[in-house]
Amino acid sequence: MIRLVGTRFGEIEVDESRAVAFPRGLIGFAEARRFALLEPRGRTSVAWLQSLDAPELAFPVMDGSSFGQGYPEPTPTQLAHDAGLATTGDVAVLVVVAARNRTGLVANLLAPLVIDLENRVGAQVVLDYRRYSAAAPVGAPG
Amino acid sequence: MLILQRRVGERIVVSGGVEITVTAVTRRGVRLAVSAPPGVSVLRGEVHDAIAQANARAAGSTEVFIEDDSEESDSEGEGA
Repeated sequence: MIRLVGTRFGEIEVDESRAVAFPRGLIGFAEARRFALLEPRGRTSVAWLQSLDAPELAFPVMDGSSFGQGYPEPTPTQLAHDAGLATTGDVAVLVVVAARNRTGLVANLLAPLVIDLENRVGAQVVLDYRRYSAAAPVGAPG
Repeated sequence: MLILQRRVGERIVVSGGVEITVTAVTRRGVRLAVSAPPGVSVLRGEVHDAIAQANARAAGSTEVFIEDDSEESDSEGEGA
């Protein structure tokens, strides 16, 4: 069990087997390589990817399926392969979101997080910059 | 910083696995071909920076996503 006192959620405990490794970190955050996904309670659809290395670091994320059936292109399995994740199982796609104002947010559709759920290893991948924005406006999380 | 002079067709090899070849030089710019093994990301600098900035902005977006029912005001202990 990993015990962590985070700055947002107080003391949290994460089973080691539930941690997700990002061997290359996130872009601009190369040193943060172990995370726990804290699922939302209640009706919010925003989850948190909490760093297990830096208590003050957490990224709000939403499930990739929130952004339409065609997202992402190429497919999660292809993206995982391209990122060097040797997966044969399920692949999750998470989109990092940021606050735009009190009611809206922006989603980084350009660089989703791809997670090999079988081995619990992830990477931030970069899609076609001509097609996807790093700050696409979306409505209030619901 | 290492600065190298290369002509069209000449390469730079990084860490034995990444190869950058100059394929054309015009008045508008330099055209490069980059080959890298799977898992090595190759990004335009401005795309990398935009994503790093989006990540930083996300990490800084705190209260907006945390609902007010977090009960952190009256947890155990007294002014610990």
